[in-house]
Amino acid sequence: MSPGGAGPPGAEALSCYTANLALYLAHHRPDALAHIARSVRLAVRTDTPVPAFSHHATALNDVDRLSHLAYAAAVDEDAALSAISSELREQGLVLVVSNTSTMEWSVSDKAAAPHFLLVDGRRRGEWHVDDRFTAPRPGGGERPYSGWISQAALGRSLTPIVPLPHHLRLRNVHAFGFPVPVPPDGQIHWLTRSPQPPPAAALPGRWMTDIAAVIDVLEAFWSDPQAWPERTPFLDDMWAAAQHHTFRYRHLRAEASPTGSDWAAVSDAILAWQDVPMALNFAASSQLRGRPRPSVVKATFERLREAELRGRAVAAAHGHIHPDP
Amino acid sequence: MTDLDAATVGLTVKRVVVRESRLSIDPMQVADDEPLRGELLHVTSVGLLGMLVRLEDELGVTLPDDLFAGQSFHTVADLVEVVTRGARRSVA
Repeated sequence: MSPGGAGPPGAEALSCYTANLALYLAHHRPDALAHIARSVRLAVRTDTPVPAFSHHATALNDVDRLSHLAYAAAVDEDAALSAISSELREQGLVLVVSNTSTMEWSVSDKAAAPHFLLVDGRRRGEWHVDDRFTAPRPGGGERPYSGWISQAALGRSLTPIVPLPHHLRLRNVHAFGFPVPVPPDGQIHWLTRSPQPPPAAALPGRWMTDIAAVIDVLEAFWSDPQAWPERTPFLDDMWAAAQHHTFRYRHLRAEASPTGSDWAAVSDAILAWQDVPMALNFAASSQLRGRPRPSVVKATFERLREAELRGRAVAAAHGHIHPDP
Repeated sequence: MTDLDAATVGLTVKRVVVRESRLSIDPMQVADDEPLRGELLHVTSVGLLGMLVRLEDELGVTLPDDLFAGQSFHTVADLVEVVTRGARRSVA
């Protein structure tokens, strides 16, 4: 793995929700990528049977302090496309909640998962979509796609996941960093720009937000071999956390140009976060082969704890970390 | 677990990286300092994970606990080094 180049990362370096959310926000604020970089955190809800993750300390559904993004839904495709068309006419672009298993440009061989897709044009029988998401996959990896697709293809992309597994619903709920209302399962979802200030951002329940404590929780969570089958669905949440933190540090390195030990600390934090999904996927594979490796998980999180605290100190010194609201 | 010599580890690693890169060349043609992601070899992060698992199984070794804790995998030699450490650990 490599700590990346010196230039600022683009939207493609983010996750399946934030990559195209960044494109949407960039339409309204030129500093969208910096705004997202500064929002990055990892908080874990600890008072529920399964964890929820919050990746942003700033509510990213806040478009411009005067309006916000909110989920909208329709039960059938015609009604959904009609409403999406209206939103597109009014706003010039619209985020829809697509299904990774039915997007024709996706090579994903994984189970279906919700995905934010940007729709920014329409002409006779066709829609223009922009998808900056990239991710390594056994099938060759997800690559950015931008182009015109048929209305039928867009309709297929919007196919609801039924039933929607609980961990995927939690991702929809917390996609912006703070919980928002999500329409019922089985309906087609998109995001509409509501002409009101965003609701107050709060995390109800008991959440761990201190990163050292979060890493302690995650180390315990992932190093229990007995619990692996139920925990495997959360591997993608950890991949997203690693993407977001890597994005934050790469953005910091490009914008603030730290030198000497500060540069080393930031680069080390990037590598430590990149190691996390590698280690967890290796542990998952080892578990499946009957060779559980909790010690690999522990060693990886121990290194992450040290590297993150050093990197975080540099980020804080440069004003690159938002305090929790 | 048998005592693995460096030549066996090196050859096995090279065979695995050649297969992962979908090449049809003699593994011995791959230099120790060949980049895993370069003009010759094309190993992705997903491919690297699969290779590590295959190397454990093929060589009967247990890779070190700090496999992902600061270990860099830039070249074939980096892979050989980590597998060799795993082999020593397995013997011990």
